Amino acid sequence: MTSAPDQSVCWEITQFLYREALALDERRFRDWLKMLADDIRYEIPVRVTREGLADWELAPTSRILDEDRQTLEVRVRRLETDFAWAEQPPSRTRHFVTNVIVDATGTPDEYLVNSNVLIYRSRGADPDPDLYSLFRKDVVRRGEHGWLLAKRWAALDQSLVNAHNMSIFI
Amino acid sequence: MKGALSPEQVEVFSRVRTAVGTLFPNLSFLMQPFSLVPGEPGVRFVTMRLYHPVGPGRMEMYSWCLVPKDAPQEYKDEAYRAYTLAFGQAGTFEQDDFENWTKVTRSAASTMVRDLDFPYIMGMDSAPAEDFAGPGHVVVPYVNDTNFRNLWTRWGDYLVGEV
Repeated sequence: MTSAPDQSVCWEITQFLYREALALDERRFRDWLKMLADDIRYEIPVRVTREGLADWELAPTSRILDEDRQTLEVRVRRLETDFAWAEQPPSRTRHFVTNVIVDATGTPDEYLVNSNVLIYRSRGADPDPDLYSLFRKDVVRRGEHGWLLAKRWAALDQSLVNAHNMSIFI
Repeated sequence: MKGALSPEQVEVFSRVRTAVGTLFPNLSFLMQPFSLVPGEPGVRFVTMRLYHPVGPGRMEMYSWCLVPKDAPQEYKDEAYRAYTLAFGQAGTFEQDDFENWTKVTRSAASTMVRDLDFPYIMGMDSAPAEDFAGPGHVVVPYVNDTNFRNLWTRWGDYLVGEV
């Protein structure tokens, strides 16, 4: 059984998630990378439409993103080149992070953080934005110099993703 | 694979680094090596994709990653991670492709393009390669419009009921 940590921890972690979202929305990707632990695992499974009694809805092995520190740095480096065409000109994003629930884990200084996220994404002169709705189950860890994201497990609330790509970080 | 192909055909495949193709009309495959670390040789996988039309100017795409059945689990895991890094909605290659395809489709309906011809004539006069071990029509170099001509000709055959 998990227990809710005290208010100051919950507030600090929520602020951390807001700052993480702001770094992404302001496209400060190097700042964002600094908010990730070295052993970061960032996994976005594919959601499958199944009957209500099925034992899983998130595919056990299919992934939209399956990243560690090294591959996330590759993605950021790509964005810093002249050749990331899907993001040139860049998407405008707004991450709305809400419903933050913080639970202690068995590991000291590590917390399981559930949240809901809605991401608005607009490109160029297209008047129709994309909306990505997703849940996140993060592991947030107290590091030497502040909080760090150690694990992100998140999935979109769609099985068929209603956008032409997913070229942003969620 | 060696059971189904002749030694000459295996020899041709053994030198292939990248292969692309389409089964008419909408099932494509791509075989290529890709590495999680830029610059390294990487692992080879096959991705198959099905373009499922849902209306004018709209399609759903299904994408699969295939790995050799008898490969060690470590190889399969690495190949799938490489596929995920490169392809799919968030793939570092495929993100750009989706953007391009969307824009190309929109541009193709523009008034400027309506007065243009699309001459798929590249390689039309190439004689078939003589020493190819497989079946099929093979020309060299591989950069040519043969497959475009095949696709649109076949589509035309269906339209006029000549299939």
